[in-house]
Amino acid sequence: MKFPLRSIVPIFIAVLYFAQPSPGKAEEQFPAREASKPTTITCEECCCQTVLTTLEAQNKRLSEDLRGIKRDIAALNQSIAEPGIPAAMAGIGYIFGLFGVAAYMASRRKNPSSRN
Amino acid sequence: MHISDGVLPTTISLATYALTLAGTALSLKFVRPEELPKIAVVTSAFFVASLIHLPLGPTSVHLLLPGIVGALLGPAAFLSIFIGLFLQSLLFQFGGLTALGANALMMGVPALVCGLLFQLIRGSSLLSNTIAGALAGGLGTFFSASLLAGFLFTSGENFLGVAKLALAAHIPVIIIETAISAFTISFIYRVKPELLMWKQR
Repeated sequence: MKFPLRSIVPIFIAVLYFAQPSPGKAEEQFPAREASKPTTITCEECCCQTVLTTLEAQNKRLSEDLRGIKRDIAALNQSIAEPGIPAAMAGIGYIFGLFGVAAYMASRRKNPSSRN
Repeated sequence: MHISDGVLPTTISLATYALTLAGTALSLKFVRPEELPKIAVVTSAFFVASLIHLPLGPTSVHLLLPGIVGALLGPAAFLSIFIGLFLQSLLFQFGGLTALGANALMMGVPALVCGLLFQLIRGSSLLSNTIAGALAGGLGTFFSASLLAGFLFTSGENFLGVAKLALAAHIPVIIIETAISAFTISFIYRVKPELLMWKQR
């Protein structure tokens, strides 16, 4: 277990270092001193642990954000799929128009003398 | 409540379409020109009612109103329901065009039955009219749910399970429709009782 952890440390440091300048909610909470911390601390185990915990926390926050966004997308999809007021108005218009035409035909049939 | 495209076998779709067209043609014979505005208003109400969703646990149900349509329109109810469902399937994507026949039968037959029942028992007092309206509203939804279960049975589902599910899902709708029908009918009886009469051609 010791060997792979040790080999991963530089990668984590590099990831943290490169992730630093990019803007975003998740990164905001990790100031620059955390990236430079591992270089000052000699105990590699300890710094590895810190990096791991920070990464895990970051991941957790990110996945929470993602879940929220997915929920929003699902809600949006649903609200797009369900018909709204315009469709209802269109339908009412169709119905009244249809019955209007029917009433017109009926009135013409009733008194054919008015035809010209 | 609406049956979607591709649920029913083709033979059932065709048969229900034929029955629906025959019913609509018959119902057209009963339409009097003076009643056209009333039919139009009731049709619009029926058309829009299915947009009123009532949250029920994880899902939601919507109003159906076959009972009230039948009580108000009598034999013309079938025409009204056919037009309403046709526009619903075009504009709201509720139920498919191929299942329109089954959907129209599912709502139209209970409407006719409940309309007849309403005329038979409504009597001439406010109380009896209200009770008759409530019965028509509740029974209309109940019959619709039963017919839905029957149609799903023809598509090969386990009949008892589906019937129970359909009825259980519509118990709240039945209760709400009973209340709405009672209120509507009693209001109309007090304000404009001649709307409740069926004029014969």
